[in-house]
Amino acid sequence: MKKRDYQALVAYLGLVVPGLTVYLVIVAYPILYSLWLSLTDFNPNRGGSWSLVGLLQYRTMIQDPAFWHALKNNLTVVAVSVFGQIPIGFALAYILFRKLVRAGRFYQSMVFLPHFLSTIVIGTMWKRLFQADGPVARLLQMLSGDPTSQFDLMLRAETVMYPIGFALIWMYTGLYMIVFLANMQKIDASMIEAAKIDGASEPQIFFRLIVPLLSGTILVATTLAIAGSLRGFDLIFAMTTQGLTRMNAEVLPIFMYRTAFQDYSNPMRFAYGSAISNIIVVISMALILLSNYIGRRLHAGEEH
Amino acid sequence: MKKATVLLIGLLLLLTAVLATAAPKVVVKTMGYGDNSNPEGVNWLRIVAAFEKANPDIDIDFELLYDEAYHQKVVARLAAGDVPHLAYMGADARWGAPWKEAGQQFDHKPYMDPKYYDFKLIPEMGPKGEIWEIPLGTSNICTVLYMNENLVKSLGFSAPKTYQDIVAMVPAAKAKGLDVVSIDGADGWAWGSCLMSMVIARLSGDAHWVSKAVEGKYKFSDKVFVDSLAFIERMVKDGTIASKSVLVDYGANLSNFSNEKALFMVQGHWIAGSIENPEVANNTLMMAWPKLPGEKSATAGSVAAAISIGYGITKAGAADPKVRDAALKFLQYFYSHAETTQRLRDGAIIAPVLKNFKVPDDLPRLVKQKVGLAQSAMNTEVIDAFLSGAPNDALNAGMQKIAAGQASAKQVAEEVEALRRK
Amino acid sequence: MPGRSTEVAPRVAGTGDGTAGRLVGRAVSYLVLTTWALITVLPLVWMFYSSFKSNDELITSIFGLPHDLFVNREDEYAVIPPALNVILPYDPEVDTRERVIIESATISPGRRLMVQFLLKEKLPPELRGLQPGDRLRVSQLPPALRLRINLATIWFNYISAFVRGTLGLKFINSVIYTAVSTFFIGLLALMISFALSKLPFRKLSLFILGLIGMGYLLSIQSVIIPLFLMLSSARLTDTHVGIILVYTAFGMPLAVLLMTQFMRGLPDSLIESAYIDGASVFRTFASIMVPMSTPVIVTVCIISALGIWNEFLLVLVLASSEITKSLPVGVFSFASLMGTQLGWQLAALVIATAPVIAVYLLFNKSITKGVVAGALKE
Repeated sequence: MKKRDYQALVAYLGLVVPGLTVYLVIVAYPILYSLWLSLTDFNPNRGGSWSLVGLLQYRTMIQDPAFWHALKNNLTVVAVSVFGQIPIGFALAYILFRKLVRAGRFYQSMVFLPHFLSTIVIGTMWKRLFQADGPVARLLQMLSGDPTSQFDLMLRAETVMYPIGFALIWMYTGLYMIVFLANMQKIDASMIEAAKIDGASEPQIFFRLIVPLLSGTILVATTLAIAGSLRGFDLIFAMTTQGLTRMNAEVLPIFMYRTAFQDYSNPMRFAYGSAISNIIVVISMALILLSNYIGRRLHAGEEH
Repeated sequence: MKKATVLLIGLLLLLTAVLATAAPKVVVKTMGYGDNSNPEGVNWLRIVAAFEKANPDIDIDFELLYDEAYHQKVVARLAAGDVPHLAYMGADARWGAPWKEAGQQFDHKPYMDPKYYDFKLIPEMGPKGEIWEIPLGTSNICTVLYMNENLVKSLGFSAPKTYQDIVAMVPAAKAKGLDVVSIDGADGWAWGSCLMSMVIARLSGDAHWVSKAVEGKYKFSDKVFVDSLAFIERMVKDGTIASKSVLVDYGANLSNFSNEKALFMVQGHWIAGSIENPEVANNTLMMAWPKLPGEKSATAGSVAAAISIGYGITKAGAADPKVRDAALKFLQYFYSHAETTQRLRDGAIIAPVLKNFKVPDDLPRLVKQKVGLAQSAMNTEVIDAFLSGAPNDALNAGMQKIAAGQASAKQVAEEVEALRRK
Repeated sequence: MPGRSTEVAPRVAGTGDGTAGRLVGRAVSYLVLTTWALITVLPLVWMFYSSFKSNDELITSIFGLPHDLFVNREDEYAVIPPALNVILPYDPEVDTRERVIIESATISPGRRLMVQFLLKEKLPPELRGLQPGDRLRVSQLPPALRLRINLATIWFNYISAFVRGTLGLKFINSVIYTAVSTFFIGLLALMISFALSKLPFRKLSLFILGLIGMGYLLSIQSVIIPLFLMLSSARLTDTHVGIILVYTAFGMPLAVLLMTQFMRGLPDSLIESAYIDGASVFRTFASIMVPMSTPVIVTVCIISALGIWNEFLLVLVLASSEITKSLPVGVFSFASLMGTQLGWQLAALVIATAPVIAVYLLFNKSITKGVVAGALKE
């Protein structure tokens, strides 16, 4: 028995250690550095002496209105992802699964395609679409009959998340659709046949059969969506120009970037920036744990 | 006989090549500024290739970046201690701050030949008159008003002498579906650098109002600054600037003007070389803004200008004498008369800082205008050379909000002052 | 699924949504999907055909079809003297044949962007003596030169983007980074996932899974500076090895999460029987787990490869010299704030996007099958 255990341990380590080493070596140092830096007043650019300042950076952050503005925007992005991308992805997957439209494969490709493109491409594209007298503006001018109307949703903090949310949904829903479609296709076809024989309508099949069966997948997809929303930077950065639009749409990673990389007037900007990124991780974990908890409760509630 | 000679020469060449590459090279780690689609970048590649060919013992190990990417990389490299020996840098809040903070600024004055460089044209950058980088040219004029002469004449007007003259053109322009003054309002910095820097100097009569306000002698919430911001409101109301400019970016602004969709364009002098349409380029007038309502005579006809950026050796580069000398040699080549003339032609600089510079006669009209503007207009400060971080961000975004009708001048002014005080 | 009732709903009489509801549902579905497809395809189509337009065209008629670059027979060219900014594509000391240098007067005149070097010996006698300042039309040139200029004009944006952005080298780099990193991600994640899902030491496995999973929460900006610091001291910045290491490490979390999840759903019976038969762990891994995990391997490879091909920020900071930069950086160098050559920018974007779309369309069936079969199991 002992020899077997020993052999098992050796095999286990043999499998785990190589990959884990690469991962830890590259990732661990930045994480630890970031944690340490956020507790000091060190400026890596200037070098020199530093001292521990405890939770100073975190306290500054909580008092910074820009932080709350960015947090609000980020939560909006999370909401768009969880309550936009996932339901829409699910619905589209269902439509394709139940073959409610023809040319399913074509539509499947089209919805998934944006995911394959780089964010620079997409960001540039959407920026051109929304610019003054650009395609969208022209469309508005035609529809409203007013030759001076412009697409100015990005200029106001209250409305900026609509076009951004739209672009986010367009870009990422495909991934979740494919994942849901995959799991739907593993469902035993006879169950759906039985339901139809019982006279169930399409919506009933959807809500009473498919959704509960895929609840586990929905939960994992939600986790991925939350994690992705909180660290996503590229798309919003590429869609906005430095100034009003970017400040309106500023999410936590962009806020972190602006303070750490561009705010030369603040000598503690690197420490402040690392405090912000640590908080991003904490918020992500909190939201994921929360969604897991809710998911488990819902799932448990359905076990009759 | 001929064949043998050719073979011999070939062998000798090969030998030289081998020896040359075998000899230890001095490596100058450089950060160059340029882009694949602009003259700066294209010229950089050419210059480095030519220099290395003429100096096989020096290797200019460079990386060429532009804009956002350049600043990011500078920050990353400085923070990691991978300090370049030579880099594109400035002396103000945006371009000089990271180097200053890292303690990498190096005084070039002792190494600059006063017979070659005209020190009267090179501003002092350090507290003791140090020169941290060799500027590409004389100070960059940021608040140029470009005018399409033909278009303005076709409407029956001539070059404006006062702001009211521009307002008078509005009805005729609107009738033809033209913009009066085009500005890249989507870029926050354009409002600050290319417009407001000039307005505050004109209305206050003080060429150094901005630096004094940053120091605390004045407040951004003072009436004169509020009035300056309110000028934006006035321009939108008068119809000289369209509210939709907040959705126009740098490229779109340029194309509006090049395609004769606007009478005037607001930008810095550097965009002159990018006006593609020769019809427009040859008939463009570059001028300082005309008389604004309420301006003080002390700063009449002034333009806001920032110390030109250029290449400078860092302390890390100067630490090793071999590297320093190699870098200086490169700088000598980079700032040669021939290259400077090319830069003048491309519109990268306004006027050279070299002594005994012979200005060629066949320069395009725009270039000649630039030189004239540099010589005649009074220089005042540019806002973001002194104001940076949160207050500057708030100011730029605030001006955009004013133009879009979302905020008042007073609100923005107070917000900026509050942030500066923190 | 224990306790799951298969009875969906009691027979509901007369809910009345029969055919009408289905029609509405169908119509809405078609509408949504078609609009989606259009929004996806139209901008890409625009990007593609606009990359063949001259800068002037792009400014004047943003939606029009390309014309200027294709109809170039009557294009005017001006003869220019050699100057500093006239970059010779040949070495004048080696190739001493005389040339007439002409520059386009229609495409970006005066900017030295469209310059052709015509060998005097190939020109008809009346054109050989042209001096700087003279003009000529493409139609005046002999057929061979005409064809060359014709092609150079049509492909102007692409040639410029490719040559000025050294996109060829960057393309190869992108392929290297993507292929090698994806391979290592797949291999290492497979090994770890097998151990975490099928071998004993449950508590340790859970801990390691959490540790690796946390890596997914990091944003690139937050790790850039310490990462650069660390690699700098190991002298790994600006090397292929360093970049591949970083991509592999950052690709591990998602790969391990997906693979562990999948493997947990695989039956233990096969492994049990192999164990009883005396097979070593590694043998079990290689001959049983790997084949059974093919679907998730495909999924992970696709997702990782995509992410690395399009990745931009990491390689921007970690790569300094042209030798190590990858495609997105090359594309970005045309898309800067003050870039005024929109045509080149579009050509660069197409060069970066076309391979991805080509692979996508060619392998569409197997990709969706792979993702479909390999994605998260219930």
